[in-house]
Amino acid sequence: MNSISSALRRVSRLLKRNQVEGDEAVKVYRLVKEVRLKGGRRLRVLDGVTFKVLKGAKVALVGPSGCGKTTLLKVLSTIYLPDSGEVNVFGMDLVREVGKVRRLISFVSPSLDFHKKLTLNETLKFFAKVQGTDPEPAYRFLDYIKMRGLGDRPLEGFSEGQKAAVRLAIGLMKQPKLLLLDEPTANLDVARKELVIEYLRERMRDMTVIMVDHDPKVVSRLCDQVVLMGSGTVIKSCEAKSLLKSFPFKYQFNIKVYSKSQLSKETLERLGYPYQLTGNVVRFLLSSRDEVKDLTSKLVNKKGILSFEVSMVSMEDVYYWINQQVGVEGAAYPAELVKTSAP
Amino acid sequence: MFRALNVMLASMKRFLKLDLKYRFELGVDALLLVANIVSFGILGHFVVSSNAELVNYPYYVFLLAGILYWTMIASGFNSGIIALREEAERGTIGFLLSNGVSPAVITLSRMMVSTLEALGISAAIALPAIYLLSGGAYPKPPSSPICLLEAAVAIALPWLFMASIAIALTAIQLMFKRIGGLAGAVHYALGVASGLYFPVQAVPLAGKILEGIPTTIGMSAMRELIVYGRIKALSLSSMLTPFTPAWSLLVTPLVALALSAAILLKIERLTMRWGTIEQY
Repeated sequence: MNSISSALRRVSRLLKRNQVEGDEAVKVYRLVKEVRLKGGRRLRVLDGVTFKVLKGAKVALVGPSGCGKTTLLKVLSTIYLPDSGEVNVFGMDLVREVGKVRRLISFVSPSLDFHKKLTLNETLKFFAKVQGTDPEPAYRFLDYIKMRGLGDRPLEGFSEGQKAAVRLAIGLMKQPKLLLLDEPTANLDVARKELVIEYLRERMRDMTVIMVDHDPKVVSRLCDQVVLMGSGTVIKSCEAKSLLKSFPFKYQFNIKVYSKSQLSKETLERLGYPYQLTGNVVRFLLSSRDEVKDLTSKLVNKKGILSFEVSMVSMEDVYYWINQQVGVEGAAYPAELVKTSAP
Repeated sequence: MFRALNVMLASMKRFLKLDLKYRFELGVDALLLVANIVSFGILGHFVVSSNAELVNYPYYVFLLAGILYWTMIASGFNSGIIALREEAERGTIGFLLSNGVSPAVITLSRMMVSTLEALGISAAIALPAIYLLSGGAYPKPPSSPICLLEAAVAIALPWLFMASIAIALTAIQLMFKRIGGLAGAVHYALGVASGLYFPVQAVPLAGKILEGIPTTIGMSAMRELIVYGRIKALSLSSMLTPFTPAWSLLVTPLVALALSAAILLKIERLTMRWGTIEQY
């Protein structure tokens, strides 16, 4: 009797595991990628990267510039071969079954540029042939973001934002099961950025998306999973919501000053809370109501403050913070985030 | 294979459209050919007037027929290799790779378009030039439709040979990114070795080896067609007889193509491993 029940348990465990594996879109295990430099030297860009992505998930690769996000996308899109480790895409080995994998993926890179003398229609037709597909899905997307009418215009007259939209249209053309996006919304105007986010959220629900974007607004609105990277490794892979829950700060306290010179670095550091300076706005991150009260009392007599507001932290704050914590020199954000120890 | 051909056709169409949008460049190319014809015509007349008997027909016909052939065969060679770098800088290489298409498609499609354009330009300029300079004596009309077929073979197979060298150079370019004047040097050396400027038979010792190069055989076939209206050496039976020039015309391009494709595949994989394939 005992042996029957243990056998049943084993079968149930196996079924459960198979179901989980069947739900996986991407499985990366101990991936190592080295890039060859001048003189034969090798730079390890990815070092033991491990994470999983479920089918239909929208995943953001988050981390400072140079931490290996784009290289990871290039490995997943089969442009680079991994040096070691395992990468499975929809259950297929990325190296051994590369042909099958390529039929399911699409990679949108910001480095893709176009012949400027060709029209949008001519360009889309060419890229449709390269992908062995029909250009119609690209037109549907361009229609959605109000660019369909530009078909006969040469690309030389397109802005960088419009070109970014064309790149995305090309990536969507194949209707891939896995869409890899590298800074897809860079240079897009605010209205088109919204439309792109809406399109990917509403129209591409079944599509698995792995993206790199330096705009925390885009990441927080589009992605439900975050793979946090730093120095070529995965620091954490989790649901975006859980990242917010485990964030050590609850409130953001924004103050607007007349000019940057009104509050010196020393004055801000003396306040004793981590802050971030963007233009003439200082944003403090605080973990309790007491800290809010404390900071308010410290600032109340300070000169040069135009206004202040307190609100709950958002995913954007989390991403800003993460980038600072795992950051290296030259982090991608314009904001100047200065760390001070919490009181 | 079918996909690659499809992409190649699409890429050819794209290059053709682009070329037609840069009409000034097309005009300059045509003018350069005219300049070549004029200079080689003058050189040929100089050789004729100096009574040097290198061939048993006017030497300017020898030179102009050579120019006509070389323009058709080799004009796409350099542009095919340059196109790969241009496309790499546009980020097309990564896109092609992630869709399972080799970067060599760019080189080949660019070569094909340049060859088609050169065919049109050179036939429109070089053939009338030969006719006018020779007072209507040349080119001789083809003696039979078979001759035209043989001429097509004499163009197509050496073109394939040039394409295989271009693929090998593409592979070298994928590895080293910038190859300087290598493509130009190969182009020039092959032109000389194919008998563009003088009959290769006149070269002591190496003449026999040079006669076996597909472009040499093709060029001499083109000259025969223009001078005699027929091609003597290119029958099907001679193509199937081992170690004859015609056999070499058939076999060498196929072997070269297989070799260059193998080299390209190897280097493609190596540079994908190195993470440098699309870094230019």
